Amino acid sequence: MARLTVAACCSHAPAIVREEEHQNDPWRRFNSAYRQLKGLIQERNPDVMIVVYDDHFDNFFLNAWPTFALGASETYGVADEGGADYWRDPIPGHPAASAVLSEGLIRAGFDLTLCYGDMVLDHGATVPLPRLTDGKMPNVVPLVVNCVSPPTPSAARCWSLGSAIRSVMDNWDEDVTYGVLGTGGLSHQLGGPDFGAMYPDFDREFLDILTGPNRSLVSELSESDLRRGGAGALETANWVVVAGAVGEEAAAQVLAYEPLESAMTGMAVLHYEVDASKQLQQSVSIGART
Amino acid sequence: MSRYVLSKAISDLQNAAARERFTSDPDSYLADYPELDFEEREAVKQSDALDLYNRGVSIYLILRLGHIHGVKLMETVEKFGGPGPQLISSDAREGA
Repeated sequence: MARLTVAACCSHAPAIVREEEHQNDPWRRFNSAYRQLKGLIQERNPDVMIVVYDDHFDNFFLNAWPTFALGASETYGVADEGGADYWRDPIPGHPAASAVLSEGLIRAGFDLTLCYGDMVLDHGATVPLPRLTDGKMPNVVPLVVNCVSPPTPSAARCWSLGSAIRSVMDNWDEDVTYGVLGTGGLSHQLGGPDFGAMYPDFDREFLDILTGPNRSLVSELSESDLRRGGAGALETANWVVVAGAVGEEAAAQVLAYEPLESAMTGMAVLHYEVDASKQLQQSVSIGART
Repeated sequence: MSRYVLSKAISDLQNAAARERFTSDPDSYLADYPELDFEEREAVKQSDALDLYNRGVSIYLILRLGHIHGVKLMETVEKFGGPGPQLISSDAREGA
């Protein structure tokens, strides 16, 4: 049977690739957490990585904007985001896992948009993936959640989708390991009179729920709750999908939380220990408490 | 006002050939979007972030257009007249 070996979430702000801006302790702590997560992923080396992120008008447009879209290609292209130093090479897919997920999730009531070809991944995937794998790209299944073109899906729906992903994959009669990686957030406001603002109290409350004893409370957050972290905080829906896949049991550890000025984003890295034999001692260390 | 067409005129700049055509002759490029009125075409040509935002264009498209025009992110932030990068209580946001 397929087995979940990695579950994690991390921010994907474009500033992550602008290393010339990283010459301060908050960035060093954040990058250290990214490297820690990289080590965990490389150690588990899952056969397929389900990447839960949001598209930023790079693959989808207003002519047809899906609430949830699943990649089903052998390979994925990379969006042209205008010269930033993002990953540029094609990224391998995992058609068998995509087929299992598309069949299982649609039978479970999730009417996904399926992308069989010409799908391009943007910085939601191409910022974190190379840095979490040293450029040895895993076989991915992209799951795109609408976080940018309202109305966006509810946290309850995202939790349920994550739970369904876990059920479908764990019932796949194939000896494969898989990971679930959610990207984006946390608080940030792009556009409007508060352009550039970060909301650390929102970020801490959100992380406290994910690391606390009643993780499913995250599914009760409304869109207005999430918008307390700025419009960009709607990307936390991707984190809710991963939380739904993990469920209540696995211990969660915040590897870093830093509101980073040059990213204009509350940035975090979170790891769930889904391997019972390697349960981490839960020690949450959240920066910038004061 | 056509939020959809305005957004499409910017989104289509993801294509390298379209970008080249836009930068060399913006009027010719924008002529392919006859639904746009004069003010909308000017907003695209000038990369007027605030105007485009107020017309309902996604900030992601606005930032992409700004990049094509060589506008730095912080310049766009300043155009909105906000506080820029800083920590704010979400309660303050709620009260805003």
